[in-house]
Amino acid sequence: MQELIAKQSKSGAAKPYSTIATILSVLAMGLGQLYNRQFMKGVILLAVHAFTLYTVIFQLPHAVWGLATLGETQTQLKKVGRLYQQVMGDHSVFLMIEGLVTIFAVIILLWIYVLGIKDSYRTGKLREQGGVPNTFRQTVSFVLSYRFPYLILALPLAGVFFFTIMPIVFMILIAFTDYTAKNMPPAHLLSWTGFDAFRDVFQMKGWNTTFYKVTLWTFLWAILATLTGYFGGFGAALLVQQKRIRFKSFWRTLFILPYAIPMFVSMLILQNMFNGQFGPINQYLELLGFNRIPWLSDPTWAKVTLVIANFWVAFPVSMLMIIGIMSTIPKDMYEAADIDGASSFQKTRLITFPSVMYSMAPLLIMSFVGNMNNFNVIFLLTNGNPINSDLQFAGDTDILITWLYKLSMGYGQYNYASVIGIIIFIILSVFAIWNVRRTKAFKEDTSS
Amino acid sequence: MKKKLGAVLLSTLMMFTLAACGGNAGTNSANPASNAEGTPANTAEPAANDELKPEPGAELRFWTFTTDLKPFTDYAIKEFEQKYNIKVTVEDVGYWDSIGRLSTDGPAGVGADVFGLQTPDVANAAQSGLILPNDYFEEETKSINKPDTVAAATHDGILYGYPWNVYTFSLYYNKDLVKDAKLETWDDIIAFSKKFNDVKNNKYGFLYEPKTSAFDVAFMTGYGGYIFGDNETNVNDIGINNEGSVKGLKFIQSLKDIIPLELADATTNLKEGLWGQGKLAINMDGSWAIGEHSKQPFPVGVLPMPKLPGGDNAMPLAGSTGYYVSSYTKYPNAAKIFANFITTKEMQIKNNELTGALPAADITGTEQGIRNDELTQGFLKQIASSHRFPGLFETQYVWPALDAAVAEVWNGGDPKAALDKAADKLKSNIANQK
Repeated sequence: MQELIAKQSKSGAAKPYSTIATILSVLAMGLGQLYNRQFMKGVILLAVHAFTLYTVIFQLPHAVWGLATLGETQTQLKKVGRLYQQVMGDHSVFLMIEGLVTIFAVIILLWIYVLGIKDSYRTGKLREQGGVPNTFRQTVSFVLSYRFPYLILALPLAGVFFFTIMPIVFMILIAFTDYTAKNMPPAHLLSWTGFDAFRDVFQMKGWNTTFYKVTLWTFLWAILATLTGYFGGFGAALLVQQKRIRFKSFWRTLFILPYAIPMFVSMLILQNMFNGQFGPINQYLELLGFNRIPWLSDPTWAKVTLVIANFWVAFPVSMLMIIGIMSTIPKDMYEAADIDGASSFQKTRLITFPSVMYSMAPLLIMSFVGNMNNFNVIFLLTNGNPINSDLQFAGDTDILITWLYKLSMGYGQYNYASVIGIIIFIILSVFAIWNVRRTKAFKEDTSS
Repeated sequence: MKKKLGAVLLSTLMMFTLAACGGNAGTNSANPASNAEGTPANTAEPAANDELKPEPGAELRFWTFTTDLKPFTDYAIKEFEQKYNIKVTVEDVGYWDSIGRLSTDGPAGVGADVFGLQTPDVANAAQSGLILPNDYFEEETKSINKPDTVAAATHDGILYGYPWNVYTFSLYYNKDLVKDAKLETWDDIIAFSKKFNDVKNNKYGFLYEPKTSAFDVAFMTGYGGYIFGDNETNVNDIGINNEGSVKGLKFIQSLKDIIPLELADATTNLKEGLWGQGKLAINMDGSWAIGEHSKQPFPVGVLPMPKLPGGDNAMPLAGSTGYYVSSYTKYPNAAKIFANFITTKEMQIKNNELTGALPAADITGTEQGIRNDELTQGFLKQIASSHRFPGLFETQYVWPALDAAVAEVWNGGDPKAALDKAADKLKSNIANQK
C-alpha cells in the first residue's frame, strides 16, 4: 500500500500533468481533457472547438464587416427590357442583428474555452496529487445533482440573453445610426453617425427646448401623479377605516370600482367627459353657474386634467394597500395614545402615518418610476395635445415615453427615438437600482 | 417597464425571422445579400414585347379591407382565379398599416404580394424599397386613369402603383334641416349657421374638424394657397405662408363665429354624433363615408365646396388609393397581373357599383354601372375641382407644423405670424432629414 502511494507521488512529481494539460487545452479545447483521460468530455469539447473555429473563420469576419460597415451594396432597381427588377443589396438591420448574434455566440464560446483550460489545469493538479479524474458518468451525475439549478436556469438565461439583452443592445446601437423614415432598409444602407443624434437632442434649436420641456413635465407629472394617488388612497383608507363608519366593505367596493374598469376604457370615457363643449362635466358646471373650463384645450388645464384622471384610477390601489398595512398596526398603540389623551389627528400623524410610510416607501418609488412611463393615461386622454408650435413632434402634455412613441411610430425618427429611449432607460435604472438597494429584503439577502 | 418602442419590437420579430432561417449565427455568410430568396433573380426575363406570364404554382397574398370592400374583392378574386387559376388569399390590413407590417413581414416571407396604399404613403414605401414599379402595365394604367391619380402613384418619375380609387371631401347636408336655404357661397353658409346655431342645445349649422389641418387646406387653396409648389411636387417652394394661405387661415379664424368650440373639443365622434341625431345641418366629411351617410334616417345631399368670400371655390385635397406589388413577392409576374386585373376600368366601375368607391379612372360619370345617386355624382363633381394631395415624402412634416398654426390662430393668434412659423419649422425639418 505504502509502496503504491510512493509510486504515485513519484510519478506525480515526474509528470507535471497540470502544465501539460493546460498547454494542450490552450492549443485546442478538449486536448487537455483527453490527456487527462476524460475521453467523452474531451471529444465533446473538441467538437465545440471545431464549431468555434468554423464560426470564427467563416462567420466572424462577415459579422464584424457587417457591424462595422452596415453593408456596402445598395438595393437598386434595374430595368431589364420593359421590366424593373429589384436587385437586393445588403440589409443593414439584418447585418446588425446577425453581427450581434455572432459576436455574442463567439463570446460564449470563448468563455467555454477559458473554462476548459481551467478545468484541465485543475484535473491535472488533481492527478499530480494522486487523485483520479472523474469519469464522464461521474461528471454527469455531479452536474445533475450539484449543479442542477444552473442547468435548469441555462435555458431561460439564454432566452434572456437573446430576447432581452440583444434587443436592448440593438436599440442602443440604433441611436448611433441614421435610421429614419427617410433612410430605411432595405432600399437604403444605414451608416454609423456617432453621437450626432445625441448632440442634436441636447444642442440643436427646437430639439433641445422640446427635450428640456418634455423632461421637466415628465418629472413634474410623475411627482404629482404619485403623490395625489398615494395621499388620495391614504385619505380614503383613513375615512373607510374610521370606527364610526358603517358598511365598510360597501365603501371599499365602491372605491375600488374605478380600478376594476380597464384603464383603456375609462380613459376614453373620461376624454368625452372632459370635452369642453359636449362633456357632462362642463355642462354640470354651467348648470351650477360656473364658467366652462377648457379641460383638454388649455395647456395648463390639460395637465391638471391628466393629474385628476390619473388620481381617479390610481387611488384605489394605494387605498387597498394602506388598509392592509393599517390592519397590521397594533391596537394597543392607539389605546395607549387614547389614555394619554391624544387627538385623532395626533394619532394619525404619529402612529398611522409613520407605520404606513415605513412599508410604503419602496412602493412609492416604484410607482413614481411607473408614472414616469405612464403611457396609457397620457396617450389615451390627451395624446400629448394641445399642440405647441414651439416643440418638435411633441405637444404640451407629452412625456418622454409618448414623445418617443410619436417620434418612432408617427414620424419615423428612429434614431432620435432611440436616444430618448436610452435616456429613459438611464433615469429609470437609477431609480430602480437605488430602490432595490435600499429595500430591506435585498439587504438581508446579501448579508446571508 | 412598458416600452412601446418599435425598434425593440422590430428586432424581436427579426430575431424570430433569423431563427426561422435556421442557424442563429449568421445565415448565408458567404453571400452578402442574405435575403436573396426574396428577389426575382430566378424568374425568366421576358423580352420587351413578350406576354407577361404568371409563374407556375403561384399563390398570392392580398392585403386590403375585407369589410367595406368585401363584395368587390370577392367578385374580383373569383374572376381572377377562374381566368388564371392562381389562388389569392385576402387578409384584412388597413392601407396605413401596410408599410409597417410589410417591413417586418416582407423579409420573413409572410408579407403580402399585393397590397393597398394611399397617396401619402407611396413615397415612403418607394423610398424604403418595399414596392416594385408598375412596368409591364405602365401604358395601360396611364391611359385609363386620371393624371392626378397616376401622379400620386409615381415616385421620382417611376410609376409604382395601380390606382383604382379617389377620395376627397365635401359638404354633406341634412335636407330636412337645410330646407330651401340658399347655400351658394361660404357667406351663405355662415349666415345660415348664425340663424341655425343653438349652442346651448348643441345644434350647429356647420361643423368640421379644424384641428386636422388636411381639412383646413381646403380654405387656403381658394385664395391661391398651396402646400408645395408646381402642383404639390416641388419641396423647395413652400406655399403654406403665401398670401393666399394667410387669407385662407384668416377665413378659418372667422369660422369660429359659427363654430364656437375649442379645437380639442371638435372631434369626429362628436360631429358624427350630432349629425346622426339631426342636430347638425351641414357636415364636412370625406367621400370614404358615402356608404355610411346614405344610410342615415334623413335625406342627405352633397354640396360642392362653395365660393370663399372674395375668392374662388374652396378646393379640398383629393388623394388616391392604389394597389402595389411588394418587392418581396416570390411571384412578381403573377402579382403584377393580379394588381392590374383588379384595377382595370371595368373593375373600377364594378367596384363603384358594388361598394360605392369612386373610380380613379377617367370617367364621365354616365358609364353603365356607375351609381347614379346624388352622393356619388356629387363627389364625382367635387373631385373634378379639387386640389391634389401632396404625395411627397416631406408631406409628413407638413401636418404637425400646420396643425400647430391652426391651433394658434383658432385661439386668436395672428395668421401671418403663425404660418410663417409653421413654414420655418417645415423648412428646417425638411433640411434636417437625413
